[in-house]
Amino acid sequence: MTDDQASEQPMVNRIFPRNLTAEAAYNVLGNPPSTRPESGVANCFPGLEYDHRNLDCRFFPGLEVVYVAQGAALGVRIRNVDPGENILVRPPAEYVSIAQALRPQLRALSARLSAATPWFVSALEQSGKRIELVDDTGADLDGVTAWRLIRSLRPGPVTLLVTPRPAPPAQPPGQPVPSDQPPQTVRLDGWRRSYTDPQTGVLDPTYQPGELTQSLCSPWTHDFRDCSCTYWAANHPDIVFPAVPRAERTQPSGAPTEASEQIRINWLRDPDVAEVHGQALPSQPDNRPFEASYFQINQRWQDLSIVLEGRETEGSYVPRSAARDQAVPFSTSDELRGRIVQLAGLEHLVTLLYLYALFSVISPAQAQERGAGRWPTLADDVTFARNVLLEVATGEMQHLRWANHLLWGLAEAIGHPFEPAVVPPALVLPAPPGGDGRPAQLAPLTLDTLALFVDIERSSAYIDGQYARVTATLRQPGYPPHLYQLASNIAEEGEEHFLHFRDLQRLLSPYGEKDPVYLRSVRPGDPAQPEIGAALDAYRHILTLLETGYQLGDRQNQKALAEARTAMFALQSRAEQLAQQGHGIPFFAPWQ
Amino acid sequence: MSASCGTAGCPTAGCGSGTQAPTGPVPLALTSRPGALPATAARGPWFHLVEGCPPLVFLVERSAVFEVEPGFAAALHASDPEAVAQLASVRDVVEAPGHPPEGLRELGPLPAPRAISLNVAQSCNLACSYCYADEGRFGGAARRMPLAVARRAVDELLRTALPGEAVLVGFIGGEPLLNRAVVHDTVAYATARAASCSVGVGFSITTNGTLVRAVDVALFRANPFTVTVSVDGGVQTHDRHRHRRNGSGSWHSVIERLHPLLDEPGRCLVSARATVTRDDLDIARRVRDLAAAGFREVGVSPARTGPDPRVLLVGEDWAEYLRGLVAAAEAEIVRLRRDGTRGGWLFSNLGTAMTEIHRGTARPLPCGAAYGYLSVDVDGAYSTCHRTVGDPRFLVGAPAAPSAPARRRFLAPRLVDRQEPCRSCWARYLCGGGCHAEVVQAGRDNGNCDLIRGWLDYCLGRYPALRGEFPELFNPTPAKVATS
Repeated sequence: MTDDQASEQPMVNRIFPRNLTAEAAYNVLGNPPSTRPESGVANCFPGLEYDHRNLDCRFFPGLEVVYVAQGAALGVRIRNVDPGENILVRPPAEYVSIAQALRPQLRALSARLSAATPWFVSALEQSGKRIELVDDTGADLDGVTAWRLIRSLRPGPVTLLVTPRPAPPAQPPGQPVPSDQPPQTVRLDGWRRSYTDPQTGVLDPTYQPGELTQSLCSPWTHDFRDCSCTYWAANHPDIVFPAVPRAERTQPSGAPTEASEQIRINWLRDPDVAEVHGQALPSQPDNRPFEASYFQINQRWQDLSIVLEGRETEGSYVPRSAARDQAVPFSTSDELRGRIVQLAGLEHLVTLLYLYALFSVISPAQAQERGAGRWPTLADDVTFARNVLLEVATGEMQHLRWANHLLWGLAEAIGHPFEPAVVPPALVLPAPPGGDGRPAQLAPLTLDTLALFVDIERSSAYIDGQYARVTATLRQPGYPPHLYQLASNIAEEGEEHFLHFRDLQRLLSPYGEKDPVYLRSVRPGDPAQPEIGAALDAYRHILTLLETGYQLGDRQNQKALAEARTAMFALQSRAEQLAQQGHGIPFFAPWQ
Repeated sequence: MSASCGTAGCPTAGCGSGTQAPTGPVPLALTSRPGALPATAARGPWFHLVEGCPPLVFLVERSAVFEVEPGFAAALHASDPEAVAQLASVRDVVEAPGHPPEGLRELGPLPAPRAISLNVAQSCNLACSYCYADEGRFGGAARRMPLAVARRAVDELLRTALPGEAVLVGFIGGEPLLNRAVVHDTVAYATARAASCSVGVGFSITTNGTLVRAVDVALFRANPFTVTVSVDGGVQTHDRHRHRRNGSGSWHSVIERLHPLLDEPGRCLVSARATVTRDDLDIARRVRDLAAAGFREVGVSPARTGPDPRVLLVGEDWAEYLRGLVAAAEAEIVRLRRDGTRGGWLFSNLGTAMTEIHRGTARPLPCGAAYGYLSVDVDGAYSTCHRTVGDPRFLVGAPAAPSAPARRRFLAPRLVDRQEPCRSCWARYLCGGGCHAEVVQAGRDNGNCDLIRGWLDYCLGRYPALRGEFPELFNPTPAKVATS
């Protein structure tokens, strides 16, 4: 029973369910749960709960229209006419007389509808205003534009003019359509439907289940694959790393040891061909043939993997940090501080190594010349190499700043004065597992150098592993939690760097070990030379600015950091010029 | 799992059976005996009016509660045919196909027992004047259950349990802690055995509390125990009837020994179960005194059967008892308004009734006895429940061999629709017909039935407002139930 019926039949006694069995069995007034915002497929993306246009397909009692926005015949086409619709038979009190007059109008229209001759709404009238559904040139408005006008109708009496549009006869293009049969416009006096009951908010029962959502995306099915990952209401992963089998030993960082687990794969891959075609291809169209089909998605969407930290998971998820934090914590905060200072020096050192290597690579312009004919991809490859080196070097500079942030946070936490750790850089690379530490050397980007870089960035080996005890210590109670997070971030970025260098290795290996074509002949310059001396001065100046800048919280300091950044760009240009002349900047000179 | 047998109308709150009667229709058996009901019997009333503001209509077979307008209620009261016809159309919706009400009138296949109580000590250190168990001996000699018997009963319970299900093992007596070693061993044994077959296990114990030691407190805290303490109220009320064999009271001993557990219950739920005798029907005071002693759940039951007829409720006592129940319920509502609902219901008689009304429970039997719950005597033989141990009329299985046919023979004639005067009572599916043991011993008397109807009428009338005022108490997530 609805309120409507109750008001019509005052003799009916009202009865309200009060306990669960009464509620469960009795028809409770209201919309189904699927209409609530929290049930929407896109509860994070409001607006996808239902398609508003579907409401307006029945904006006029007795009519069902469709908004045609593509094709030859544009506009508001009449799909169906129903003079016997419930709301016309038992109209709201204020529309009784309108409904009585409207029903014969609709019956007459219904008799004239045919598949061959579609009818369109040609004009709307409300409150003495009239809107023709044509543009300035007299052309029919498209369905979307017309729909906006219909949306602007208020609840209340409305008059429609509907017009048949005979299909244009086949004739040569460019000739006017003969107009010997003027369309006979039909006038319909009705009202704009109230979509919900004004008392209860219940949707007009004319709308059938599913009608309001019928044009929406289909979650977990076709659209899930076809909408690009930047639009889909709840974004899904695209390219991921494969799961690490559970029993497999991982490095202390939690990163897997096997190279095959460092290959990027398509998350939506077709499970049947994934074995053959493991690695994801560079673009979405390339990958499409190897992706799961609609049928497979419909059948097996629940098998799609959960992705955490960019990697598919199997079984229970173990946070990377859990593995890393097995390291032994330092027993005192002094020890911890000492290690972070050391690590800052290491970040500084690798920044210099990468920058030196960066300027040893020829410019893309040079590569165009040198590669012409023999090495068609040389220019692309050196662009990639220089970008990777610059990106990783910048990342290490960021780490240097974070290391100082750690020191600052630590000083705050234990009440010590903060001293930045910018200089000196470490000059010795720490020992990899089972090896000895060795003096660092500035070197051009040969494959040997690149192999060293890969080793440096490989989890656990050099830097990353050095952070293990830091994070383990910071995880203990008593340290501010954000410092642990910061230290973890540094350690985790190492894996990205590692992958970049690994890609670079693959790219450059075809060029060979000896005098590869992508390299300049660059040697460390003599600090006594004025140009070299000036470059070193610029480098030292940057370091001074950084030291000032890391004294956090002071506006002057932020200014110093901005200056440092400007100075870095200047030094970059200077280094590029020197390198073209065969000189590398001997970054270690001030410290030797 | 609550210690209460869970029948809304059952005056025996927390009788310790530890299991519930079948909720809703019992699955329909095709092998029913159509002749069991006299063919001429008219069906009982199908609705019941609860007067009040607003008036309510209670549809009997689905225990569905509707609020109606006063005019409609008056028309129904006057048996106005139109009004009755309109209500019948509602009933036809509520009892639509898919909810076969016939299930209430036929006993379907019996489930395997999911709860047992082990009568580990057929003796007691107290000599309460109203004890149905005859100082724990149930009319026999004082004996204790051997370990092997307890383990075998657990094995039998788990034998039919499927992975993912939960079972309940209860300890009763007498005073079960007189056989402490078996209680402790059985908890460990059942826990390990249940884990090995992926079955959840909970425990319950009904104790007088006077023998609780630190090791017991540790056991209760560490396991999902429902500890039901037989304690009647404040010191004077309690010691009047619960005394040692030398006549001295036991209250101080109970409270002193339970204090650590009441303070820190761990995983267990400690509730008090008070027996109300005719010499003191002030229930609200009992509840208040027990709450002050630290109990977070208190239920009361009237003394109806027992060795000393002077304390048993009779005749006019029932009306007074109902007034006592209502006063205690009103006090509980005042308490909830004052202290909030975080601790849930304190007065479990009200809590149980409200929960059952809220769910719309309709059951053809009063409790789980012989249905999902059996009791094991010291020799391992099965009885319908802990109150009938040792009585051959209630025997439903030899040691290690609970008998489904015997259970069926016991239950089938006891379906509430086959009971008199139950079949013509509107409250039959909330009440279920009353405790089998008491009915067999004392029959059904109008006073007791009026009490149940009066209590349900009161609770039904109170229900809509309480649900509105304390929705969290009707939330399906149990707040303080100890389960595994």
